[in-house]
Amino acid sequence: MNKKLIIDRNSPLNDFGGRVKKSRYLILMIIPAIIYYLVFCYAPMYGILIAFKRYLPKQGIMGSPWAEMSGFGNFYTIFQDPYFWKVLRNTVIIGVCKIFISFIAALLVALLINEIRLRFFKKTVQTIVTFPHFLSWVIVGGLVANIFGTSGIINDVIASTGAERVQFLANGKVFLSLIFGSDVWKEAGWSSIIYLATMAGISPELYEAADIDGATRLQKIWHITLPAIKPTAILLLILSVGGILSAGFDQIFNMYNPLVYDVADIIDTYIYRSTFREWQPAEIGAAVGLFKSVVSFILVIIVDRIAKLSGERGII
Amino acid sequence: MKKIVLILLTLTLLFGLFAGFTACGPKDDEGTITIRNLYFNDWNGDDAYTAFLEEKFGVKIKTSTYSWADWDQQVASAINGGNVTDVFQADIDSYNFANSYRFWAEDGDIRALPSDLSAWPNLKKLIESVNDIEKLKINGKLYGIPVAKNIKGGEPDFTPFTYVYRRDWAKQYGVYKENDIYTWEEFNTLLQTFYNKKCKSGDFYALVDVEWGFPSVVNFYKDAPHCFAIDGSGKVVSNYGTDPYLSGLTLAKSFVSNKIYGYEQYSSNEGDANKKYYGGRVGVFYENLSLSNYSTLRTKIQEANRNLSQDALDDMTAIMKVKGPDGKFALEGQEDWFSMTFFSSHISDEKMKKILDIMDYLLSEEGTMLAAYGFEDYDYTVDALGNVSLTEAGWEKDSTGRYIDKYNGAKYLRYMCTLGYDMTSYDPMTDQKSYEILANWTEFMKEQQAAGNLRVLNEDPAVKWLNTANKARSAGKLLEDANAAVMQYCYGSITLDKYKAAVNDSTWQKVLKEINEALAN
Amino acid sequence: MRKFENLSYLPLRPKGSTFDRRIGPMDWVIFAILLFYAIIIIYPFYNALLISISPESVYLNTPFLLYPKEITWDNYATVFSSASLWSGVRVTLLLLFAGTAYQLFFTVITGYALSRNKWVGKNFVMNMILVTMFFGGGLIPYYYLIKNLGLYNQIWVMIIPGAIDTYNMLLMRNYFASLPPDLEESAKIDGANDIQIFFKVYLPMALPMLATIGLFFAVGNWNSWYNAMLFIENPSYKPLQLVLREMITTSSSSMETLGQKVVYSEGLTMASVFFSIVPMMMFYPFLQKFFVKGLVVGAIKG
Repeated sequence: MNKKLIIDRNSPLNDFGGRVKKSRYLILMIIPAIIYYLVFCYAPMYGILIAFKRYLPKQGIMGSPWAEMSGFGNFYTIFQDPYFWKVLRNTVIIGVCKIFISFIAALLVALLINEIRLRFFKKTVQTIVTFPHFLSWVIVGGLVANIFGTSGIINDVIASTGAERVQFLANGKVFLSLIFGSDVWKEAGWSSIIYLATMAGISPELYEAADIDGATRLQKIWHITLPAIKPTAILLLILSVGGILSAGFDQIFNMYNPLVYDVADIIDTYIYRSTFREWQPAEIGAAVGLFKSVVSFILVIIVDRIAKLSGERGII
Repeated sequence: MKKIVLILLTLTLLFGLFAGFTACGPKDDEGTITIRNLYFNDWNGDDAYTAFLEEKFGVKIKTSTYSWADWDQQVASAINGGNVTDVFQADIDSYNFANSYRFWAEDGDIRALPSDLSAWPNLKKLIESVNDIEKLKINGKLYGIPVAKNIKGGEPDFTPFTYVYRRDWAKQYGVYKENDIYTWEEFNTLLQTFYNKKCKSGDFYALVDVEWGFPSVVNFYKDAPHCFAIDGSGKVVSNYGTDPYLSGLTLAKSFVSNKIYGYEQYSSNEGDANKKYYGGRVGVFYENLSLSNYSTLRTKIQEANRNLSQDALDDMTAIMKVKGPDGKFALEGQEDWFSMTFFSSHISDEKMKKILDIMDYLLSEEGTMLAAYGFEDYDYTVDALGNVSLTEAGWEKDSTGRYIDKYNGAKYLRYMCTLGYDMTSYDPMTDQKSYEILANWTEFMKEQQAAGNLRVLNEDPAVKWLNTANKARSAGKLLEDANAAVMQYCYGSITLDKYKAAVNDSTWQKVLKEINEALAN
Repeated sequence: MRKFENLSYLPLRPKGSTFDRRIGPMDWVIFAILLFYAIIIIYPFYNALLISISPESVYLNTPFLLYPKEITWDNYATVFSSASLWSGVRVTLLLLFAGTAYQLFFTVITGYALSRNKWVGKNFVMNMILVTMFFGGGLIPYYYLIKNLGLYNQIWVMIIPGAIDTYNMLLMRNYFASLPPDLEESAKIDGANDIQIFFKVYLPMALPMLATIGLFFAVGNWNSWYNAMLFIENPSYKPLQLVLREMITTSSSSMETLGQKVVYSEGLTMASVFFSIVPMMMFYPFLQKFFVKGLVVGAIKG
């Protein structure tokens, strides 16, 4: 057992200086990032403490007294509110559906565009489908209400057939489909760019070789295109899992109405209303924020592990 | 897992390192007064009138605005981040009052006015003209200036939260009543006629309420404007659950199902209802017809219908006077103010004094003239009889003959104390015709009030200004949630039982119990 | 995925070659689908365009137009003569050029460094960065930080805090990691150091991704308003999107106000929206060229 006497040349601690020297240029390249993250991300992190305090602006974050129940009072307040669990459920449903719907839509758009032969048409379509991304949700929300409202174009068509006008925006199920639909409308083209860029990097030789083997178009998509974009797709999917509990505040805030609170009120809109419309104290928002962070983090770690177990490159 | 522990350790180390950040306070520059206000709009403080005031009081004035879209976030983050300007303003009403104003005052974010205001007589007079001013004091001190709306003294002091309607349609269909006075039955007949003649066949609506005003018909039934009503035994109860409220609500629901309320009142886009009225697709429209809203409405209708005669325009924007089922006119609650000007706790006594000097000057007769017209002999002249006439050099007109706003700093700075409601009758920017119509309406309503024919829905001051822990915390939420429940019930997404439960749930019970106990003591 | 699988039942040309220029039935199906998609996207823009060139009287009476009944350029004249919009454009252009270059530089070098294997502390740095994607201190300490760094009400507050976007940095890292590693080995043998390898070997190969990420940053900068909303008081420092946002919400708000408040018409709002998105739309096709270039570079080197 005289391990002490054996010098392990491969031990990381052993040749530390040498390894630092070897990677000194890479370390040089990472130093700005380290400074950036320390200053802009880590320095404000003590603000997490607000979630455990009764925040008094004059006293500052450190000076404010701790919340009741040895600091956990804010969490108790939240978890005790039955409405919180309802908005949490809504958030998860909307968040999960949105991830899958928008992922599939973006992939489909990218594949379709990639299959176009006419260069002019390809470029035009590719440009057009990215347009809606440039619009803000304030505008898109207004558009949706104008189109699907009682005096919107859809109802004009319905009314012209002699039928009664329908209140689409009052129906929770219709409303959810509008949320998903408008998200696809606005973002699918834009999200497909990243896949198209990855597809552009695939060597044409691979396709030529497949042509020689007599592969069909679908076979080529299945065996060449999809595997090539798989790492990017998985990375994006893992990252988007972290956003499940956000579920798109801007969109919902600009589209929802009291009649669909039941299905469409999410954590962020609820907190926004309580903080700014009802002037609730800042620490409640902070506590919900922390809850969201912890849950998102755990979710991402789980998804990342699953990805790694199935042989993919994760992020952590 | 080890990595995560390592990261968390680093975090804790960093906490200590950066916690010191909060300690720094803002530097106070004695010679400059910084002012942030929602009503400054695109005025930037760069004009001769501001320069005149700066010189007169020996200070520099730096102004900035809150934006309409985000003022609540801007105010909240500045307070929480300890970075408010010397003078700032926020739209505070009785429902977020206790939760913000009181909280800020007790925390020491805002500075109290001196208890003796006799050095500033005009300001003192203004503040004292506000009803219930004593209720705004915390430990005997006033921590801000309620930006007064209804200043006594000659100007119309009612806010017409009421119906504007298409008198031309009413005449066309033979349901017009003289002087625009309608009994409850006549009002209902008019709506039904509008629906039968106009709405059935197309994209028209008999009755539309502005987004926050739904359901306006309940105003003719309910006893109290907002959350809290007092029942027969003197106990405070949920207004939304009282019998009068419920009968009004039943009517509102029947209006929805009979398509009298044909438009989706829950639509989340503010301004849609207005656009429908501008576009001539609404018969009766409930709105806050403040001078600016009413003159905007008239301008928009003029834009939408070119070559409109004055009479036709008046017919399209007539103000309706409706008697409720009890034979009385009804007006929704009247707040004296809806906004407050605050002073940062960082400012020195001298600076505070200077700010109050400026305010007092602007409220004086001289200051008011400066704010309304500009410089004497340049912007306006006064003849021997005291009549004011504007000069051409000082005031330009646009193609329609209206005066163009000239960014008069005195006028904007005056918004720190009053939003100009006390000078509407002679402000050159006022649309005279709109003003005249509203003044007549006010006159009429005053007469009715004197004769006991007007029911003004005001919250009982004892309840309104009561500040107990749960009420302070939850009043805003109760209001918001109850309004959502009303909407949901009217549009059929919840049953009456569910509605009743929603407007009397455990939070309500807690708050009501607290209020009743506090009032009993 | 059902939609995707369905495609297999459609008639396919047995030997479709990527370089075969013949158009088969499958191409027509794709063409039709995409055409429909493009029309759905264009229609609302078309409607907005109609509103922006219609006089207020026409819009208010008939909000849904299929063709312009009457054309007026008044709204555009107002937009082009609006001092606050032009001031917004100036600020936004600064953000666009300075901000994008700044972000691209830091994001790309970080992504590259993290894509290389085995250097001391790499995993620690990587995890440290990932944590920030999920945990933040929230608005209040961030507000203090900005204030104490002296960035409050400074134009730089819209640029400096955005140096690295973790999401795009990870995309960049993944891209670098997918490039063949033997190039690095051979360059090392030639005596190049990591920085030289990055600039001479990997950066040129990453052009398509660089263009994409540059585009993301440019669009992000063009559309940014949140930091400005919180930290900018000076109206001449307001970026275009913030000016526009205030305009849009003002046009629809029916809040209690005085005679001074300008109520913008829908037509004017839509004209301003076009004013703000058209440059981006025009900018985008040019960046697309880079994708093609990247493809050529990839083909030669790969």
